[in-house]
This record gives sequence, structure tokens and C-alpha cells, in this order.
Amino acid sequence: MFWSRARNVLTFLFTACLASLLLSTYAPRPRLEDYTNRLTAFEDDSEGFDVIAIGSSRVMRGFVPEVFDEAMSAGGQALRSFNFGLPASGAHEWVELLPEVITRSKRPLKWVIIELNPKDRLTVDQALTDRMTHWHSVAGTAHILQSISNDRLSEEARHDQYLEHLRFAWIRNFSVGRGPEWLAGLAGRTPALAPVGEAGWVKFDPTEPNIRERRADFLSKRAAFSGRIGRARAGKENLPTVPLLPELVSHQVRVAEAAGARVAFIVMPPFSNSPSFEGEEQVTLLEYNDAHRYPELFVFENFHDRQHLSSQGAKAFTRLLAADLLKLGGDN
Amino acid sequence: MIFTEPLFFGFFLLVFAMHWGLTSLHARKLWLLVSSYVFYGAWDAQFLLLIFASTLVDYIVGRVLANERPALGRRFWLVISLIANLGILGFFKYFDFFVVSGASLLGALGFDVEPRTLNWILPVGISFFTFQSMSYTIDVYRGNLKPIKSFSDFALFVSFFPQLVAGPIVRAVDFLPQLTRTCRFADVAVRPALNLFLIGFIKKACIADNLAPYADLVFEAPALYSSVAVWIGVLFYSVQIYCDFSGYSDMAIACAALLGYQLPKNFNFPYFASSIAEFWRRWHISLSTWLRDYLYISLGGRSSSRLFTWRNLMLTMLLGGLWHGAGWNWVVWGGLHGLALVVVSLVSGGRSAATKSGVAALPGMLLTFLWVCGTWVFFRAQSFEDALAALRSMAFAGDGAKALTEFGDPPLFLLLLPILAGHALLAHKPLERWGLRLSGTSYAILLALATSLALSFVSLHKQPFIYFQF
Repeated sequence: MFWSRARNVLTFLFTACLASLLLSTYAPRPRLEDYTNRLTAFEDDSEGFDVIAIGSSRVMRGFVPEVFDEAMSAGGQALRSFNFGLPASGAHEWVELLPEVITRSKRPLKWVIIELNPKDRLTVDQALTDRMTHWHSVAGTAHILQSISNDRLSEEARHDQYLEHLRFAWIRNFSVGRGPEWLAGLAGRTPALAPVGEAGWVKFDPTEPNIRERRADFLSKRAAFSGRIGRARAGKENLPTVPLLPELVSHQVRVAEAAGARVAFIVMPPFSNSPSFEGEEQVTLLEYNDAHRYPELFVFENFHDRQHLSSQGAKAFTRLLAADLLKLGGDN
Repeated sequence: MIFTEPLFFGFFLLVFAMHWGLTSLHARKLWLLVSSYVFYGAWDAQFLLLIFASTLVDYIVGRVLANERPALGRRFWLVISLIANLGILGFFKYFDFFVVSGASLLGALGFDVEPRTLNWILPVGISFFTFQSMSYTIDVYRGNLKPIKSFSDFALFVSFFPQLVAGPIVRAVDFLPQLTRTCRFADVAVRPALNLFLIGFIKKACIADNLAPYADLVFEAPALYSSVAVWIGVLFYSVQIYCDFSGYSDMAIACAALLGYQLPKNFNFPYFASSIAEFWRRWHISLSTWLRDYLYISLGGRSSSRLFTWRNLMLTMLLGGLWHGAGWNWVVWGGLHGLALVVVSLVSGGRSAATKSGVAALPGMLLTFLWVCGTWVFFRAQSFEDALAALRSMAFAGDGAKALTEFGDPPLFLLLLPILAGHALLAHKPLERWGLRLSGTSYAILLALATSLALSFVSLHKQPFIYFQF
């Protein structure tokens, strides 16, 4: 009797897991604002791209593909680039994004530019978003669990993080809550996603109230920010260094190099923390938070707010980035 | 810890395995008692003292009543129990309500009084466990029940975790005898219990929580929405509250059954009732029978004078409304149901109407459903102004034009069709009979597929169980 019951319980668990995994594998992929529309725009472009820039909103606002392409072309390399900056994203999401981009690329990628921000560790108070759920694939969850186990966290925080991310993994891999979206799709009632223009670059829209507010706040603190810029240009700004999540860095390098691309990690201006490498990672690192090295970037007008470049600053940064990549000999 | 959370599944599996792993009845009951206190303590451990206090008072009163002969002495001890239980309830649940209402009344009379409220957190399930505990002393006082000797058994009756925070309200007379029998796992009807749990889960997590955002939007500002949108909001809320509460009851009954205990049925397809009296025989049955047996009958019940009968009905429903929450909206909700019961009694000349079936029942069913939906507006609205605005819109006399979706609202009505069909199917073929003829393996596979599909429709915007606030 006992073994018969145990067999039934195991049958139940096996069938439920299998059915859910099949659903999550073969059901239509979720339509994610800022993510799906970018991938679609990338895939639908008839010519394809050679360079992608992956990162947070700092990249989304700060990397201008048109300017990059012109600068590279002037340097003798005719390349087309696409901006894959995602607002409020972090390294773990980019790990999930990179293979998706590579498989959709019409041309072999030559450069993969990835923002490096060691502050992008996840905290359990991050809101549940569809995008965050999406990157908790089996591989993505394995990465985050490994990161958490290596991270310098208190036991309690580590425990909370494990639970939180396992919850996301459960939702993602068992298709929890996807049904209403499938029904809406069948009924042709899928909400439209915002179109993506300018090869992924997103300018600030001054009519958006929160953007206007942040801008006004930034302008009201002009003197303080200018003072900081001045000190930074003089080399007196000591930015703290924060250890990286090395497994993510090496994984991204592996994935990109397997696709034949070179990887350049960048630290975005103005005052992002600098990464420190604990292991023996050999990566190309360009630190645009170094005002002493890039003084032309560190002028007040180049910034929209405390974290983001203005349109003018974005163009200046992109030209610098292109020049650095040309120096690195991007002729592979 | 709520029934639809993975954390609860882990907790229940542990309780279940340990419960059936123990061979001694006493050890099993102690284990369930500890588990119940852990379950409640997971919300707020400090309120465990409240349950313990309520348990202790009623246990002692029960023991005293066992030896007390004179009627006056017995009444004294009953009053002690009522004061203790209603005192706890009144203090935590109604103190602020009465203070604010009193200050408003004095203000209307020209006295300017600043109300001093406590703003205490309402202990979850307080209305349920105090009523449950109180029913014991009343039954002992009335001589319907022999007082129990074992304190731990009584404590388990008050705190039994499947029904502790949102019912069904269990009577001591039904539950205590179950504590004296050793149940074997082989006697447990596992499949009906699993079917019931899954149905309860689907009702709550897949239906109620997915409809809630629409109802929430409408009740946030009903004056802004079109009549169609308000109708959708009200109908969705009617389905939401039924699925939310009956889903919880289903899961509670199923969990108890898997542990070898029987809890009373709490819902019997109330929206298929053909009269308001029948609705109350089908909705939250454990509360309505509690109010009937301990309040309505105590007030005189169906008196020889129709006027007194109506008074008793109105008082019972008003207090029933107040039981749900400390607010005038709940009082009005109860009052409207009381009024409907009085009108039905008036029309039927005080005789209990025979329950109709088939097509003959349809007009009554529709009328009852519409009345119940209308009264939910007061139950859910944030203010009287909002409730009246919603009712105006439902009568196509509102000014609002806002829609709930960008695609147009009328197709949302279609969502109700599969729910209605499922409801009718369940009414036609009770869950207890589902899957009984299948082999163990086939049943496990079918249940797994149904579970997997149900998970796909779980709302990620989790809503707390509505009745937890009561």
C-alpha cells in the first residue's frame, strides 16, 4: 500500500513538472515592454548589425548607434550597431539577453559592449516585474544562485535572496500566471508594445513628468554637481571600488566569444563605482567614470541628471567609445 | 501563510507527514495544536496570547458550568464568557469604530469632540475564533454539550489551523467528538479532498485574483466609469468574493479532511438561490446558522408576533453585517439583507416558501442574484457616495464614460460564461464523485495536468483573502 501511494505521488510530481516545463518551453514567449520590442526591432532589421551595446538605462540613454557607426566608419570600419540598454536592468538580465540577441543576429557580431556596474546586485526588495521573472530561466537561476552563494551577504540576507529568486524561477519555469496572456493572444487582444526607433537609442522626453522632475532637481543642484565634476577632472574624486560577480563576467565573455565577437566592458559616466577583480579575469575594461582621463566628457551640459548623459553627452561618450574600440584594433 | 502560497504547501506537507507518522492519538492532537499555534504565530506571534486567553476563559467557564447547578450562577458564568469574548472582539475590532461614530454623533449635536482612536492592527480571524469559542460555552450552558475535560483538546478545537482564520466556524458539538476517535489514514477520502483543494485553489488564485483588478479599478472611483464598466466591476466583485471566500472554505475543509477531520460545508451554490432566505441558507452557512442558533433564537426567533419576528430578523442581519467589519457600510449591507428577508416574510405571509427548481426558479434566482449584487456595492465601496454613484451607473443614470480596457468592455462579460458553466457543472456533479473510478496512476496524472494548467492561470497580483479582515 505504501509503495503504491509513493508511486502515485511521484507520478503526480513528475507529470506536473513535465507538463509545466513543456508549457513554459512551447507556449508563446511573453511580450515584455522594453525587451520584446527591442529584440523584434533588432531581428526585423533587414541588414542586421555588427555591434550591440548591452546595459542599463545609462546605456539606453547614452549610446547613440548612428554616431557610433559614423565614427567607426570614419576610422575605417563600416559597422552597424544597436542599443540594447534596458531600463532598471542588471547583469543577471544581460546574461539572459545576450544569447537571445546572438541567435537573432543576421550578421556575425564583431563587438559586444557590456556595461559593468558592480552595484547591480539584486536585492529582494526589487519589484516583481515580468522582465525580472523572464530571466529566471534554469540557466539564469543557476547563475544568480551561484552569485548569491559567492556574494558577501549576511546569512539572513543570503537566505532571503535564495527564497526570492527560487520563487521567480518557479513562476518562470512553471508558466505560473501565463494563462490570461495566452487567452488574450488567442483572442487577438494583445496590448501593443512601444515602437523602437534610432536603433534602440532612447532620448529623454521632456514632456514626461518624472523625467521633467528629475531634470529640475538636477538643475537645482547644479553648483554641487559642477563642483564634483571639477574635483573629478582634477583627479581628486576617489570612487569606491566594488567586487564584481566574476562568474557573470566570465560567462558573458564565453557566450560572446563563442559567437565570434569581442567583448568590451564599459563603466558608464558620471560617477559609477569602479569594479575590482578578485580573480584572474582578463577582460577589456573601459572606465568612462574616470573624469581625469576623459575630461571632455565631464562638463555639466553633458548630463541630463545625476545618473544619465544628456543627448549631447551621449554623442560625446559614443564618439569616445568608438575611438577607444578603434584603438583596441577592432578589425577582427 | 496563506493556502495558495508554496510556503503553506511545505508547512502542510510537514504537518501531514508527521500527523500520520504518529501512532498515538494524544501525540497527534498535540502535534496539531503546536502546528496550529505556529500557523497563527506566522502572522503575528503576539496575538497568540489572545487565542490562548479566549481558550482559557471558555475552558474554565465550561468546567465551572459542569458543576454549577443554580440557574443564576450558571448565567453569571455565561456572562463572564460573553464579556471576555465580546470584550476582546469589541476592543480590537470595534473600539475605534464606536469612538469615531460617537464623536460624529456628538459633533452633530453641537459638541466638538476629538476622537481618540487606538489604530490597533486587527488580529486576523478574531471574529471566527471568538464566535467558535463562545459557541462552546453557550452550548454547555444550554445543556447541549458536556464540558470537555482535556484543555489541550479544547485548545485544538479553538485553534485548529485549517479553519482558524476564515472559517468555517465549527461548533464544539460537531468537532469535539472527532477528537476522541483515532482515525486511520485508510479511512480518509483522499481523492475528494484533493479535488476539493484544487477547486478551492482555482476559485481563489485563478478566478478571484484575476477578476479583482477590474473590480478594484471600478470601486476606486465608480463615478468615472461607464455603466457597462460599473456592471462589470460589480459582477466581477460578486464572483470574486464568492470564489475568494468559498475557495478558502474548500481548501480549509480539504486540509482538515486530509488530516482526518470533518468540517461543515460553508457554501452551497448561493448564487443559484431562488430567494433571499434561500441565499442565506447557502451563503457562509456556518455563520448564518451560528447567528440563527445563538442570536436570532436568543432574541425570540420566529415569534408569535410578526412585528417581533421582523425585529429579530433585522437585528440579526444588522449585527451580522457588523460582524463582517467595523463600518456603517457593513451595517447597511446587513440591513438591506434584513429588509429583503422582512419583505419576503411579508409577501409569503410568514410561511417558509418551498424551494423551487428548474425553470420556475429562474426569475427568483435572477432577482435574488441582482439584489445580492446590489448589496455587494455597499460591502465593497469605499464610501456611501461611491456606493450611490455605482448604483446610479448601474441604473444607467451615471455621468461616467471611462472604460476598463482599451479594447472595449462588453467582451469582458464573456469571461463570466466559463465560470458560470464550471459552477453549474459542479452543482450538477459533486466533486466527491470525480475520479473515483480511475486507477491511482491515472488519477495522479490527471490531477497533475489539472494542477499544471491551474498554475498557468494563477494571478501574479496576489490578493489577500477578503474574509481575513473579518
